Amino acid sequence: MAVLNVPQRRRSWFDRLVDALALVAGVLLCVLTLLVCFDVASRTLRLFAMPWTLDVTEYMLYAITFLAAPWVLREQGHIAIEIVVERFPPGPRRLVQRIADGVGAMVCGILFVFACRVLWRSYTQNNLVHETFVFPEWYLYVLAPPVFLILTVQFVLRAARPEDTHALERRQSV
Amino acid sequence: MILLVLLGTLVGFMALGVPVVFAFFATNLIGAYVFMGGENGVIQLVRNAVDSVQSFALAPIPLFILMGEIMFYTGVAARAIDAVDKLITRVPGRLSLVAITGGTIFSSLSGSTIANTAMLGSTLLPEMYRRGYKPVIAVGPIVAVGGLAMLIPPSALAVLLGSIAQIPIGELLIASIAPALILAVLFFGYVIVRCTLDPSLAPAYEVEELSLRERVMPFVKYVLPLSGIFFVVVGSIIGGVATPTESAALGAAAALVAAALYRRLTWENFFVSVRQTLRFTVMTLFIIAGSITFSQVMAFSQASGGLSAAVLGTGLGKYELLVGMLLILLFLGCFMDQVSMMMITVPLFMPVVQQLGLEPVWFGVLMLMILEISLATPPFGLLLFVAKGASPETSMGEIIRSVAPFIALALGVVALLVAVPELTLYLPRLMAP
Repeated sequence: MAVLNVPQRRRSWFDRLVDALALVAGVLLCVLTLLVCFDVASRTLRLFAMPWTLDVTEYMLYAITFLAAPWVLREQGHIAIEIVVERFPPGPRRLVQRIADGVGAMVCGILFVFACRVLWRSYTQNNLVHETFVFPEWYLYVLAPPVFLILTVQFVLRAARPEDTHALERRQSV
Repeated sequence: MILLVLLGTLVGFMALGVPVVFAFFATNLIGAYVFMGGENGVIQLVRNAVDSVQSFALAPIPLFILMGEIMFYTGVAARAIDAVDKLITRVPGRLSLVAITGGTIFSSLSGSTIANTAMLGSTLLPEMYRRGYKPVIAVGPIVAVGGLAMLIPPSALAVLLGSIAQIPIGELLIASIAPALILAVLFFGYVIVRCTLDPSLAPAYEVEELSLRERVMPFVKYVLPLSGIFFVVVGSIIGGVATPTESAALGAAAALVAAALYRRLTWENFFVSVRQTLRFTVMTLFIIAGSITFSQVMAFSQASGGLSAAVLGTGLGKYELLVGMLLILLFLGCFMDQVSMMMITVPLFMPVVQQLGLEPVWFGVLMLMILEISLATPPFGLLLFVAKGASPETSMGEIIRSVAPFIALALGVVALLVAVPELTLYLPRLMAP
């Protein structure tokens, strides 16, 4: 999909995976819009009831946010305050960027481990969600571990890049 | 002390260039581990992150943004600006006035300040410079009116503020309309006065001679139908027909239908609109996921309660404390993005607001006003950079100088709203119970 192109780099399977997740999130965004519209229309015209819309919309928001988070990171879309870093000369600036990426990788790595623990705990405790639908609670936590793992890899890739491509990519992606 | 350490850690990570969402995650990891029971605290953090974005109240955010992006990328908004351009004729600072009018109209169709500023900047700035407009009167109105999208419904950030501060979202959206219109009128008046006093800022030029019909018809054709979308969104909230989420979905659908009826909708611009919506939505919601535990860490460490007690114990009056909170926001706005500002200050300010007995909707609007102003305050005002992107030949110094009078006007309006709360609260009181 042309709109998800990665600038200046050959697209690896990892990039394709990140693109695919974002694509699913984009489709969910469109479905969410249609769903809420249908709900209002069906309620106003008294055609049929869709009481599950509220819950499904909430799950979709969660899925959209987590599925597209790695793509937004790759596209430099997560807002960062760079006024301090930009004042450094190129060498030290790259070093500070690497440290920042290292912090990001460490944070996401820790979150990955704990997200796995949350998932495992929920699975073994066999908790159920009692909303419009009744289902095992661990379904809700199944997205977080892979997303945090992908974010960890994304940060490691950013840190490993030889040149300062942050500013370039930001300009291209705005 | 704990508060300062936590805030210092957060600001330190942000200054290092760590994306703010991960700076929040990092600070919260430390805070949750220390104050919320070690590993159990971190497990709670992960649960919070997952649960926080599962909120129906947040659903208008992507929908309001989608509305604006569709209007922007299909070119429907640019056509509306063009129609306004034809309507306004021989007045001082004509193109700046077109920017203010067009920006206000687009604000009523878009929840994104960036889309608003980028659209005005790309469509009007080149023409302004071609006509010999000085940057001081060309850039300022565009940046200033760009921020109005945050106040006039549909506003994504008003939804976010309402959601995290537990302020009724519908009331907050409606309450922001009057202050935004006051701002737009003041901006309009300022441009006329300034260009009358110094005509060299915006040299008059011969506007194409058009008949009354030729001037009015584009407005009737390209602007008036769009105002229907605004009335669908706002009217359904005021009338109690739809929740903000439902009105937002109707607005997004109406924007798509309008673009299709104007024969401007293509698969390509639809994809780009969704892409941009996804980008801004995920950026915003992921910050919520990352920062939601911050308020809990504050509460567990007794930092927020301590601060609240300390502030209330100073003996300062209601208005001094209110102004103090707004000044803190203004200061933070020089360095931080709007979502981060909200996530840091709301857990600290709202207990104080409740203790002082301030009307939450009123405080919410004042907060939105300051957030809107901080989009244009140097050195980190986001819209300054958007304007710079739209006009690379203008120096940042010129952009900042051109924006300064508009910031002063906006601060004047904040003072007015503080003095006369009724200006803010009149419209929400009309809402159906």
